[in-house]
Amino acid sequence: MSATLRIEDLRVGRRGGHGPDLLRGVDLELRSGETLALVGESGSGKSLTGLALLGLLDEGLELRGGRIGLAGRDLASLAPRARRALLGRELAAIFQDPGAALNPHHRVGPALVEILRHRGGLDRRAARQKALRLLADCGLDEVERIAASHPHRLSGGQKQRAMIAMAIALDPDFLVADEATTALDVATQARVVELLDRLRRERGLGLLFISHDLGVVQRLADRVALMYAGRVVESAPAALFFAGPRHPYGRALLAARPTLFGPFERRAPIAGSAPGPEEIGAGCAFAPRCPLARATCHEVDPPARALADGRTLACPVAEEGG
Amino acid sequence: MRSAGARFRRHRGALVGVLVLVLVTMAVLLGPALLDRPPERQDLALGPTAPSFAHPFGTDYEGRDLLARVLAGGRISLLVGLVATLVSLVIGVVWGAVAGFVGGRLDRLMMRIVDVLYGLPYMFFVIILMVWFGRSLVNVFIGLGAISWLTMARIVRAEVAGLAGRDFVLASRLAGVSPLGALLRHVLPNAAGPIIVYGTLTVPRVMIEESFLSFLGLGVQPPAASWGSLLAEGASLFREYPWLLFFPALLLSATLLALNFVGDGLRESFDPGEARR
Amino acid sequence: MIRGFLVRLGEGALTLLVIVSLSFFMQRLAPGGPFDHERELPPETRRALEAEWGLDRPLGEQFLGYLGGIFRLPPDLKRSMTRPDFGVTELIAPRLAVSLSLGLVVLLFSLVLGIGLGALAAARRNGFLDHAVMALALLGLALPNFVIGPLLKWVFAIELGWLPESRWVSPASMVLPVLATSALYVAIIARMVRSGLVAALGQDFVRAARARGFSERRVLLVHALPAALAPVIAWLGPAAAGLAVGSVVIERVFDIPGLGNTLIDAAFNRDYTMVMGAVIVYSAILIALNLLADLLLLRVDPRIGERR
Repeated sequence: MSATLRIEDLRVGRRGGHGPDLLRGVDLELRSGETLALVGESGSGKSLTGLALLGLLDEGLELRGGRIGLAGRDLASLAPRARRALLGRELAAIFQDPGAALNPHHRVGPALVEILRHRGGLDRRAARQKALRLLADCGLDEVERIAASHPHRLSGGQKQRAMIAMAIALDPDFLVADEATTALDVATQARVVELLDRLRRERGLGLLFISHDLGVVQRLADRVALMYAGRVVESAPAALFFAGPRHPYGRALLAARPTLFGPFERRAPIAGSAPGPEEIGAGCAFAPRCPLARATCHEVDPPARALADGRTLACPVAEEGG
Repeated sequence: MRSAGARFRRHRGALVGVLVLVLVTMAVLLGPALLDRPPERQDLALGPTAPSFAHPFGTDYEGRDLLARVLAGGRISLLVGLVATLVSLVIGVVWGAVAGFVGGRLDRLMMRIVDVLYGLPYMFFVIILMVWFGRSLVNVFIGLGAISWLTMARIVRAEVAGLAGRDFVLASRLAGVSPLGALLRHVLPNAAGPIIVYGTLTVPRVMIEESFLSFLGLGVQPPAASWGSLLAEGASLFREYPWLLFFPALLLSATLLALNFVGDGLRESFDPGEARR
Repeated sequence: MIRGFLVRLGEGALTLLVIVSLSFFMQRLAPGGPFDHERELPPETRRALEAEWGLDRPLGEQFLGYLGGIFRLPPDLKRSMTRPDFGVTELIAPRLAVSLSLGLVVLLFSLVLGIGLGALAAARRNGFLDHAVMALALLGLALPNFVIGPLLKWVFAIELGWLPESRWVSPASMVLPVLATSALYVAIIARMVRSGLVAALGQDFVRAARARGFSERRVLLVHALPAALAPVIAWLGPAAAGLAVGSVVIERVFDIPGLGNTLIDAAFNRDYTMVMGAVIVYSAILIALNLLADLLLLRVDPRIGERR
């Protein structure tokens, strides 16, 4: 069975309706069994998108508009309680710092058992057995010892695996991984990425992989969505994206990527810096830094359009040029 | 990044607290001079009377004007609060600074002593000392100050230990500044914020403790009075003469609340993160 | 862990020893003595009394003798100097029972009510209930218990006649003293729990718990509360010490025969052995309580054990 998660025109701003939108109409589509990578520099709104999707925005923020379609419902218009009840079952999440995201007061095993009993309805015995199975499934050895440990006793990789075990405990359709590998060292990072990919394949998990690390994204993603200043400016099948993004921002970003073997000169940095939400005018947010910008770019923020090759692109100039 | 002063001014409770403290302090300092009746003048024929135009706070059992007594008592209460806090400040800062700056085994030993002292009913020691060595105001200062330095020592130690390893301190040491010089000139000034905050919060605690001693008859001795001893008197007579309890309680509580508000406000303005603890 | 416990136990014994020595010598250095009455005793009577109590021997020898008495089983606390027909243990025991029961009831009541109110305030943070609870807590902080005590007594015992004026004889007689003593502690705990919970609610692990779909109530009570309780537990030792002192006032206001006033009376009368007995009992109980709080803290926050 294939489920689809469809985010349309998602808008987030400070609570009370004051100030500009921080997310300025985000569109995303993710099918189960598929990995969608959400990339962009910090402050581009990718983590905010993940939190808005989960309904876990900070208290000072609120959803200002948009739809989050999942299995025929619009999550954005559900009552908070009903929405919370979907978390874990249909939509789960893991976060950046596994050290901070695991409760230091709870042992790993009992924390898993709590999920399985209170949310999954298993009895104590069944929950215990399943907890150990989940830990083993997530590639942990010595599961008995790990289940009996407090998080501070575990390594970073073990913590993130335990986090993943808790996230998939109720067999969700979709998993939001918010910078889930950023805090890990490179070797551990690779293994966790491998685990996520395996879980996607085996469980038909739809993975929303939020990261600023293009190297990891390249290994994992089926599709890439590039965010800039609170909008998705280009989304494309991963192979196409890495072969050559069309949006000027994407091209600059990829060109700026340090490559191990390429000539040093190719690392052209992007001039200027990303605008804060207050600084965005009427036109395209990237226009002030864009080498291809025309007069209209400063006046009208271009809508995203689907192209024939499977991309969506919010840049008429690049569209013409391609 | 807003300055501490600007953050403090945004803290409404703290501003009200400052206003109350200024009013109380002025009343207490100037009031007795403006009133034409000394607080100890008795009028046994008058006896206790309810608040009236002549005696806004009423009179006590000996016919003394309660307003005059409350204002005079406030002087002593505030004085005890300030002096005892100062004593505790000196002990706590020295203890914490030495432990934090020297570090190592001495640090662990000194802080363990603080841990252990934390759990003891040190007020009993003050009580017993007052009984044995006399109930003078100086003993109140020393006794209360000597038992109120523990938290200050912990706070100063944490600050100093954190600052001692920082680059600007190391740089000054490399430039030939002595350890004591580095401590006094570079470390302690940077720890001033938490010291001021906690010092402010110590004052109301010490004032409560003083009132406690007075209630037991061990604080300020008659005919002098503090808010604590007035309260003690009021508490025993308040069924017949409720104003004897009401006015001292009002002033003491208002002052304690104001001090707590100001302390909280200072804490939030010096360290916004700290306030969440 | 066991080694840490033994170290703490040793520290506790050392603390007790220091307190005993300090009290012993300070008491002797202080002016006045147990046989100073308004009427001067004849010199020979006085000498005979001092010889009987061993006060004529060198101070060091007296001290060692006293120490020998307390560090054995069962400890010998000697007889009371002002009531020589009674042993100190015998005089202290019933009063200790009263003080201990008052203290425990107050502590339990304060914990339950304080944690409950603090959690309620945190759950409704910045709402009306939060402001109401915190305003009440401020009142508890700013009103000394010797003001609250008489007020409660007046309203509920005298005007309304619902409750006895108390002498600590029946459960009903315990209500007012417990309320008056608890006010401060409920206020402190509620404030601590509220601010601890609000801080914990901003932590990543709470967001992770929410992401697992737990109800907000469960997130608050199961996932955030342990973090908020650690400071409360760490504070229990000092709280018990403060409680011991605070109950002196309550014992006076409500006419309860507790240990606190025994100690103060003994200090006034220079009843050397009674003072020492009360000091030892208080210190031993509080040291034990601190040890208990330490162990409890280790259970709530296992990271602490490894940091030390």
